[in-house]
Amino acid sequence: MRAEITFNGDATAASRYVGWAPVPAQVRLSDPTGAMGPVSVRLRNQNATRGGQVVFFSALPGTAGDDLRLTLPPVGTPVQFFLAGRFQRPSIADGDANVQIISTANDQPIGTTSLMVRIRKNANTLTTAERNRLLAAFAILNDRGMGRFADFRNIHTSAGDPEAHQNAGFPPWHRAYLLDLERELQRIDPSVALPYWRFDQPAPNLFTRDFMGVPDPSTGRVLFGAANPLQFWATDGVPGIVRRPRFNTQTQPATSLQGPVITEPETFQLGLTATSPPVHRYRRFRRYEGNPHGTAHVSFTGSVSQIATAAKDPLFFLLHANVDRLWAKWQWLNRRFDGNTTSSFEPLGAAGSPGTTRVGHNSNDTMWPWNQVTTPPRPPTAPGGTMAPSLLTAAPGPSPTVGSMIDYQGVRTAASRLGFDYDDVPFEFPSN
Amino acid sequence: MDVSEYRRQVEAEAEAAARREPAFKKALRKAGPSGRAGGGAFPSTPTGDDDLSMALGVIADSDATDDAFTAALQAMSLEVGDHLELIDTLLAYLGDAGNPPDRRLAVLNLLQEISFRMVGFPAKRPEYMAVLRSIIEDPDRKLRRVAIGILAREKDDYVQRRLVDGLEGKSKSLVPAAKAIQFLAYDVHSEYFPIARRIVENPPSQGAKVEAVRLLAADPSARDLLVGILRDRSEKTEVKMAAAVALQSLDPEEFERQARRIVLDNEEDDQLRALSLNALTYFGSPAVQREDEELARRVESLNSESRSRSVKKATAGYLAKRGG
Repeated sequence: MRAEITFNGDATAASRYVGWAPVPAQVRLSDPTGAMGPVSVRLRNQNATRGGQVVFFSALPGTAGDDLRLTLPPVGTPVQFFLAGRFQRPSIADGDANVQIISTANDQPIGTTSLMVRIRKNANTLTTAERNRLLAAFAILNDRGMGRFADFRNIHTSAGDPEAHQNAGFPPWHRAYLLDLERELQRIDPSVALPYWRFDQPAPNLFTRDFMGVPDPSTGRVLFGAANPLQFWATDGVPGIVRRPRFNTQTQPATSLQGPVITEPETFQLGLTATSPPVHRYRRFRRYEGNPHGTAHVSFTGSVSQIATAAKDPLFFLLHANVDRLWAKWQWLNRRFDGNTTSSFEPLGAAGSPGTTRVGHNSNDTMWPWNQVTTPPRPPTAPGGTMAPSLLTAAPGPSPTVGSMIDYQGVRTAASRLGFDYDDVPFEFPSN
Repeated sequence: MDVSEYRRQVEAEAEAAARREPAFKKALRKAGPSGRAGGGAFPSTPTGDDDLSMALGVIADSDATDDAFTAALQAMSLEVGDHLELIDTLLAYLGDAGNPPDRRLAVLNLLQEISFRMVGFPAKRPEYMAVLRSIIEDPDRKLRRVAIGILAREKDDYVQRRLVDGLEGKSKSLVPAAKAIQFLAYDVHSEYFPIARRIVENPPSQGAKVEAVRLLAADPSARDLLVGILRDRSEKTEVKMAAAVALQSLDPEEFERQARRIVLDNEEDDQLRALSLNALTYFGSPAVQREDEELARRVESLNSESRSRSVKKATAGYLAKRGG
């Protein structure tokens, strides 16, 4: 007798990636030999001490369990359940989370399925293997300046500046941008998740020759170790990265000439209104575009210190993953996932409606360049095409709206799940 | 940790942060009473806000401590979103050569930060660029260099022309040649290639030569020059590594031939050999390498016999990829 699990409605290994948000899965008897009737099984982690760990749900919303008992029809009809990564127990390698199907009749395993609890992690804590997979995927995406990365570099320029910055759409636009890039990295290596540079803490393991490099003292040219594929990084036809920190990367958080970036708890406080009692509102929170976001950028000299050139440096994407993580954590902390309320996002509606702002920054607006609109006031070109698809979720679709970035975990609407999570931002149902 | 417990912990941290007075507020209070705005470079106090008034007072006070000055900039950073006129104040301070250079540099750094996020900033960009152009010959090296860098990244014609003139000896150099080439590389024009070639032939410094070689990665006719550098046994390793990276970008197939030669050559430098192997690992043609037993044997031998850590790492990477 054998049983098997499929994820997200797909039987291939390419679908076996989960985050903290529950995803639908199915278990069925693939070989009913010996089954005299319905078969009672228990799903559990094969090894509770090693590798990525998962939790199970019989229905959503529901309570997560360490195991799940189900009854499988002998004719092979699949039985649905839900599965998620166990918070704070992510994978470190592809397929290191193993779900075992145990026959309760004899307590013997009748199937095992490997998957990955794929989570965006603090870059300073990556294992050597995780770091090397990330660097290899980045280098291949860049392909000496001739690869798909060129689109990402060409999106984040002065021309695209009004689409991405200085307005309400700053957090959602960059969430979409990172998601698009991460999906492209995952096409190269599906075990890669974009890590974040937690810039309010020292990150000595990130600023090394084997990771994001260290600057040449005289020119600021970033130097890499012999085995680091970023030494072939090229943008705009010229190899190399120029970046010099204004702070001690081994001992300090990001620090500009105005001092260090504000801390994570201080960042969350930006969202508070001056009303009595104070309330956390998106309109207030998005001030974080200045400090810590802008401060982190200008804690360096070189290309990352300026909008027009920041995306030439791969560090940009780790910096912005942290900017996005801060929004995600603020959303979780204050339960701000409802895209129909101004506490979660503002302005609501589409450009041109009363109370809205520039097109591209309102909840119902589509976002450039994924919408491929090149008529004014949008930029004259839209590099890169539509949003990269995912096997794991249909969201946000090829031409995402600003609002489609808000419920990124599918907290309020499961179909909104974008398919990424951060290591310190859990999933919780709205009723919790 | 249970998610509920985790939530309580994060909430407690956030609440503690809310109770703490920001460090800049303490520093501002320590600096003294407000009300000094209106003098010096600050013709008006744009708000009745206490923090901002104190900040403007501190900035106008040449006797203010560095800590107070930094705190004042932090206060202005928070308030500038509601007070577009503060940008004029900051630009005036930056452009005034009578102010201390390190403080002007800090103001410039704040303007850079503001440029990332402020709705009104694009409207002020022409004035920002004009002030930057006005300080590219400032006596302070750091301030000058940062201003030139910002303009170069904005593809500013004026600063590009001045950098070229400096490299060609037509006017005083604004920055060392290596930095000048690096700045020009933000917006490569074909007219830069002959200059880069001249620098490669007659470099004012090794740093300038390295930067010129890198720039030539964008010059389709530089292939032979780069190959020549790679084959030159008297050339410095740093220059050869730059040539390898440039050639790999310009002509990957030719680079692959050169990389193979370098790996097989006993006389080559270990750093260059490691770089070549790394390139073959990630970007080499799998079909060519699958058939190349001589190269595979050489890599295996280097992996077991080389005393260079770089070569060991690079060979391990190559063998893992080939094995996979």
